[in-house]
Amino acid sequence: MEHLIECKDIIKIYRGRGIGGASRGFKAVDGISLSIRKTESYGLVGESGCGKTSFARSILYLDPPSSGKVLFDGTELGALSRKELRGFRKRMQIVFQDPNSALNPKMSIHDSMSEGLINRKVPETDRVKRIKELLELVGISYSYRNRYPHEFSGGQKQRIVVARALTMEPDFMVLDEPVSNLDVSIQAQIINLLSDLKKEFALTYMFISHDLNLVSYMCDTIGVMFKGRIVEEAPSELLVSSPKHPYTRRLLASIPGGAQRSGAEDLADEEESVETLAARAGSRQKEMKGGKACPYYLFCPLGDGECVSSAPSLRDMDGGHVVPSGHKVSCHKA
Amino acid sequence: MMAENQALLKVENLGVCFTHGAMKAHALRGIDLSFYREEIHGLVGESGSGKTVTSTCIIGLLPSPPGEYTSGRILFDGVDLLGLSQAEMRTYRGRKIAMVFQEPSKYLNPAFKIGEQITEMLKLHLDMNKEQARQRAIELLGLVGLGKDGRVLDSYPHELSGGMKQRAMIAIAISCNPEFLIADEPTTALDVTLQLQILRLIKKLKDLLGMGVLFISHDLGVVKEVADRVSVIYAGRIVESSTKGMLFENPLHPYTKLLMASIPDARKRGQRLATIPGRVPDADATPSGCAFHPRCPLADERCKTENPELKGKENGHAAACHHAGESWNI
Repeated sequence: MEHLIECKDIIKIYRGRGIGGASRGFKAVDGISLSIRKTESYGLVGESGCGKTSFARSILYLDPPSSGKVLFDGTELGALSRKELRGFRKRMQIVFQDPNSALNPKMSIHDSMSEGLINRKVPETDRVKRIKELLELVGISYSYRNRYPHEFSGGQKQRIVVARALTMEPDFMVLDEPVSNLDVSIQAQIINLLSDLKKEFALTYMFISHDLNLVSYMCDTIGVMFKGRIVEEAPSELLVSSPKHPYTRRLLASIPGGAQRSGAEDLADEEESVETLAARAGSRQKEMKGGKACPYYLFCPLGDGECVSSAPSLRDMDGGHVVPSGHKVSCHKA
Repeated sequence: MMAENQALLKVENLGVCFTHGAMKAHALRGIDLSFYREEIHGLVGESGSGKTVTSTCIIGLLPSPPGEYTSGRILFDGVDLLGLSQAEMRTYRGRKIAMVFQEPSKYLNPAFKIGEQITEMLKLHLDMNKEQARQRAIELLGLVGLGKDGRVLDSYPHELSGGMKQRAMIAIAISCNPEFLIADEPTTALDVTLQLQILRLIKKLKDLLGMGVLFISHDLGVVKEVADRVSVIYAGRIVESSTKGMLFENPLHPYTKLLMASIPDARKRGQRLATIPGRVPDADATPSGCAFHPRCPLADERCKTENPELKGKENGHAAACHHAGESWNI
């Protein structure tokens, strides 16, 4: 199947301006390569600070990557001029976590939604028609169009933000924690809405979340991130039922309310106590110095000399199957 | 009943109303909760359902005005906390009843070292001198997993990670061996792996110190992990209350059932999630009768006018619903 997004070795370094000149900078994304097929939902999970959002911003060229290539529908985004890039921007949209800061409080929702369309010189009659259709589609009455963001609830605001992203008729949508600010009973409404829209417009999603339950429900493929790298990638059933990387196993075991919800009962016993983890991290701190070690070595229950001398790269876990399962792991011990 | 006498803290028919001009918001509309020693009581609800108001009432920090008690009492060791003066309440707050908040960075004072913030409590409530307090603070840090050498004592909050800050908050809360601990969404701001560690810590401390714990969360999974007893709150009323096992195995109230069904997980892949139509009513416009009736699939005429009582079965599983236990196609 055709790929909509192909990334090769994306690296994003944020240059720090420390006292007394430039510091070494912070590598938020450390060489990620991944591909997303058309109409696929790709889930990116990981803890805060692991580089999920930096990666998403990089591939959308909101914050161009420090190195690496992004192919969007076969076109390399890095090679485009600003003007050409603007043409592609329309096809990729992002929905942020907090709908309160995503909507301008001084603009009515109709104005907020018109902005992009006006920029694209869409005639007024079409504009109004499209806004009307989309608002009704996400479950907001068109008669509310002249209201301001504060007059809506959190769930309604998130619906409006989604509708606004759709005004541009995108192919690719990045959903960055789209429901984590919402109430439990509202989350399900928005998730169903996103599923419906995906079918209706044949959208491709990249779903960023820390919630493995949600991602394993929504997505076809899941990539697990740790310290700027993908440590494991697999079709979601496979990742949840037979996680290979020790970090993925730890994440699954940490899901509150019992790992059995993800069908991985045997993980519950694997979770180690804080003291064990802290002691291990303390004793291994020195070995990490060279910068060659596997980033997870610090916490890994399986690590040994091999993990210190070289960092593993993402490799296929097929083990002689004729049909590739798509299960990739970055671990010497998997 | 024996169990009633043993309750460490009892909230009886508590009603709270916030007044803003002509608008009256009934945040709590008569709730009953009992807390026992060595038991974690989870309180689950969505935002605006009255979870946090409940905790501020217990710890005596309800802002008044605009808040006002309309009914009920809070009994702690036979004393009605609502009848105490501010000065009397101060001998309870922090000493016997302590609280851990959601956002540790907001509640730790950034200008003081962690050690100073712990010893402040010890000096005030337990009349310790400087050296005793420091020794005790080192013990406490060890207890919450922040190292036995007391290095963290001389750190400022900004030098600690989110998980460490929450541990420091917990150390402050348990510094005076409280009998009752309120944990208000203590892990919501934390990552999943840290979350589990903090939940385990709270469980461990509960056993160690024999505290009763009120654990507030919006996350059913978290409550399932940590609580012994669970109450579900909706629009200022307890709608269901039971031991954890019974509640999760056989929820009686349609709201509880729908909440559970609406949580996504890998096994529901490909199916539509059950949703609860509409949203939580505002406290100034609570629907008549059963507050859940506009969103309830089982609602009938009676639900619109008659507010159901929280009725218990013999096994202690109580639900406030005219149709408790009835099933339907979710």
